[in-house]
Amino acid sequence: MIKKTLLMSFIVMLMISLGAGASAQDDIETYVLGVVLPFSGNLGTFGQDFARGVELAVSQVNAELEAAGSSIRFEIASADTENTPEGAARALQTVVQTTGAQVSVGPLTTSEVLGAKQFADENGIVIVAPASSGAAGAIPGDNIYRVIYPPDVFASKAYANIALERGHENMVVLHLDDPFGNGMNEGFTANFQAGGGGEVASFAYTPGATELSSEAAAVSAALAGFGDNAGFFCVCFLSGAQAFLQVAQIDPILTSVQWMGNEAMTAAEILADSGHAQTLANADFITVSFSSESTPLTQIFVDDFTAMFDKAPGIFTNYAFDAANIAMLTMLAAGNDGAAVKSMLPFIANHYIGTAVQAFLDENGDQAIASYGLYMVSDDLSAFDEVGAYNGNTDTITYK
Amino acid sequence: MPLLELKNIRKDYGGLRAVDDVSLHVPEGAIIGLIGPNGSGKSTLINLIAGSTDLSAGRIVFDCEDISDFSSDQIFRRGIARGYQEPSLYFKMTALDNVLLPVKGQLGEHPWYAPWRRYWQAQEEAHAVSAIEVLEQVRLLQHYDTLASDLSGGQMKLLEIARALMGRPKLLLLDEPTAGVAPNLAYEIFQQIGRLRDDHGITFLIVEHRLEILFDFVDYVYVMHLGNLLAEGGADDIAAHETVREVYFGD
Amino acid sequence: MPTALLVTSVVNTIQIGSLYALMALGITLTFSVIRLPNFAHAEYVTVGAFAALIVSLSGEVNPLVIMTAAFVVGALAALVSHLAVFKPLEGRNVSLYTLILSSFAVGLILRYILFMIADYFDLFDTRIRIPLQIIYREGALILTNVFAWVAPTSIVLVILLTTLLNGTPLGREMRALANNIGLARVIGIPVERVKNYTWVLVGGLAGVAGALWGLQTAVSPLMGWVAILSVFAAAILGGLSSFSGTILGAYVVAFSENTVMLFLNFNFGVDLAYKPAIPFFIIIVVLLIRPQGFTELFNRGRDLQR
Repeated sequence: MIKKTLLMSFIVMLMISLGAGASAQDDIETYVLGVVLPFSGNLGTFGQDFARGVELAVSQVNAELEAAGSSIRFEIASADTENTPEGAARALQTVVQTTGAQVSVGPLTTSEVLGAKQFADENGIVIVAPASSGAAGAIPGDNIYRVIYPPDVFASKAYANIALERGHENMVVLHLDDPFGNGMNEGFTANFQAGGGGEVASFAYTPGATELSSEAAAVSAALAGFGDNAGFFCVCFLSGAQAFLQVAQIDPILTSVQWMGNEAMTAAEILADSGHAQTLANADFITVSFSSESTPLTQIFVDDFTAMFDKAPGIFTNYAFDAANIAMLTMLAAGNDGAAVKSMLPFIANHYIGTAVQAFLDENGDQAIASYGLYMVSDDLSAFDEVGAYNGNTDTITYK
Repeated sequence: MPLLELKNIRKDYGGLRAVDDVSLHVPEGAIIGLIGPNGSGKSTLINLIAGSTDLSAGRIVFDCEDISDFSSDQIFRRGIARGYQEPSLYFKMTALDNVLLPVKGQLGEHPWYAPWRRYWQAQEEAHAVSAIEVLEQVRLLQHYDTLASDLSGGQMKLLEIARALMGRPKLLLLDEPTAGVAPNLAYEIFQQIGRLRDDHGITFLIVEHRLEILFDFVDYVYVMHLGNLLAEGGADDIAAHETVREVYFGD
Repeated sequence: MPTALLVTSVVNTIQIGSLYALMALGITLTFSVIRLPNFAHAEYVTVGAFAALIVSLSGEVNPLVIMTAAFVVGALAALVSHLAVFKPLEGRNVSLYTLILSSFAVGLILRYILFMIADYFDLFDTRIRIPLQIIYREGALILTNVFAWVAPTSIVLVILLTTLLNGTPLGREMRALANNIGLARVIGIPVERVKNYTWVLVGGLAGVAGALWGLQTAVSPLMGWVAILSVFAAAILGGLSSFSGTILGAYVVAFSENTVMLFLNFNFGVDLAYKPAIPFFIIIVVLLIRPQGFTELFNRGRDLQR
């Protein structure tokens, strides 16, 4: 009985999909836009929201194309990177080999992007990465374009400047053991010491770790060893930040020094725990976050997104929307061909103003406009307030 | 109506016919011997009755019920318990635990109740009392707290019988209860068997090689040879039976 | 190594080791009684954590209610995976490898169901909101309310499980199954029922472990899977058959991951990112040098040996 039901539903599905194929007009040309993002794993929420951003962009572009009488339509082919480098390579390969996609929005993190890089470079597939920023991804001439979010060479410098400005003689860093975390740690250490800073003790933790009590104990011991005027810098993803805060909030040494940390630690989930929020507030926690200036499109994007998905877009979701638009505009200009898209993408990107900020690509194909905001926990612990700005292009910090 | 009746039992292992068209019956309250040279099909017959092996043909009727297609635990529940040639015990448990294991309907068996000792303690004590009684019946009482692995060969056999008794069986199948047991203890085992029949009315079907002891206790004997029933009769008749002497004793 | 670091790491060892013990005992129990090295065990932990999380989100809830919910849901997950997958497979007499692979598959299915639930209810990176408080402080020794929940609850449950196994009719039957399942059938032990009960216990305890684990970290569909290697290392140290060995194994693994790791880091600069390699290392060393683990160190009569 069950077998029969399954068989029937399979046949129905088959008929529907065949029917859908048949109803498509013969003279319509379909361009496939790959969406390679982590739908599972620790960053699954981000991946799913990013995919919705792409979906919105595609539906808008398709509507415009139809209204204009164009024969081109975009179609999405997505695959799950499982938030690992190998998974990203596999996902990109799957999308390319099953649909012939030439361009992919995503992967998300630098380690995923680097995992997919070899396949992309060898097969002429263009990766438009919406949020990867790790310094290790800044490579000239490759097929990876990081069109919105500037590389961490700027942010690591900003953090070093803040540490020096705060009078920290020595620093302890806890960072993810992946290209993003390692790159941030190296960049920070180099800049901190070049600016006259002393020792930097770094501790790496494995991505995906759910429990960081040893790491917190080690950080605490290292801070104790440095004595006064030491500061702490945390580079992690959200789950790591939560695991760390859970143990750090009762550590007498960690709660007596000043903290800095990457923007994953500013997520709403952190502030939802009053203990965590209070810990960050007491530690003068400051983060340097790429500031997406409001453009006329920003609010329109939020409204459209909310209308389409019945929920507000998550943090950074508009970057995926912008990346998808840049990818599609380039494909409309250059055609559905990886090499042509690669050649034309910087030109299109540099002439694009989306929901976040103007894109302007450097020789690595990365965003060169490096304007950041500085954020700290508000007095009522309810939000992160912008307390200043960092201009990476001029290397200057200004406080409000 | 006999307690157990085998009707034209057959068992094939591939091309080999281990039991060929055997019919026998075991009256209630009797001690029946089943003898024959090695490989004559005795143990296979025991396995067939206990449900450890499936029949190829024939029927088995126990207590007016056809149990031919029953599984071993169904058969056990109908009242047929068995002992093994090699003692099959839980060697890492005490003698008492071994005897308590087969008890039905234990309250402390349920995970909800098991943590609340008060709930099942009274029942467990009652079970322990009957277990102690059973151990006493087979003269193992002083060993109740001994690990089964520390018992002697004969004591292990007795413990097996004791465990079988806990299930209040009507019929006990014993496969060489004296194998590997010292001669004096072997006689004692049969004395226990006799007592259990006399006091509790338990029926026995016993495979045994030590005929000199067996013949002192049995009511009736079946002789198997090459899967067939060769002869049957009282102990004296069988001892005098010429063909039996030929195949069995080689004279 | 400074004293403060030592003290903190030992406190962590006790807290994490107790949780490992709770999870590893379940693995030892399934391996002994059911004869299945069950990799889906990780997911019963996660399922319990999610149950605890969802209950805790409904407002101020007594932690005991949270634990009970986690037990029930974890037990249900285990029982369903037994009845729907493992029991039918055992009925077909498949090989051990098939069973192991199917346990991976069951785990994967459960994990992705949890991903779907987490996505639907927007539960990613959410915490069970019991505010952390310091309840005892003496020099470097700091004990929190989470510690006060996790360590005693785990230890009490471990003791309860051990007494259950050694002192109750159910435990007697479970030990019988572990020793000789064929004989258990013949002498009339209700084998299938005891197996079901074992799954209920195993799943329930894993669920509670998940709830306790969720008290100290964010609940995510991957949390059980991340811990499973350490937990298996503990069970393997116990020879997959000894209760006392498994408990000792759990604390040894936790001690290596915390105190030993920090000692190596502080004195020899070994990177903390090598922490996940420790259970691997333990498993390989045990399997190569002492496959029976700690089994023979303890009273053999009380263990779940064959």
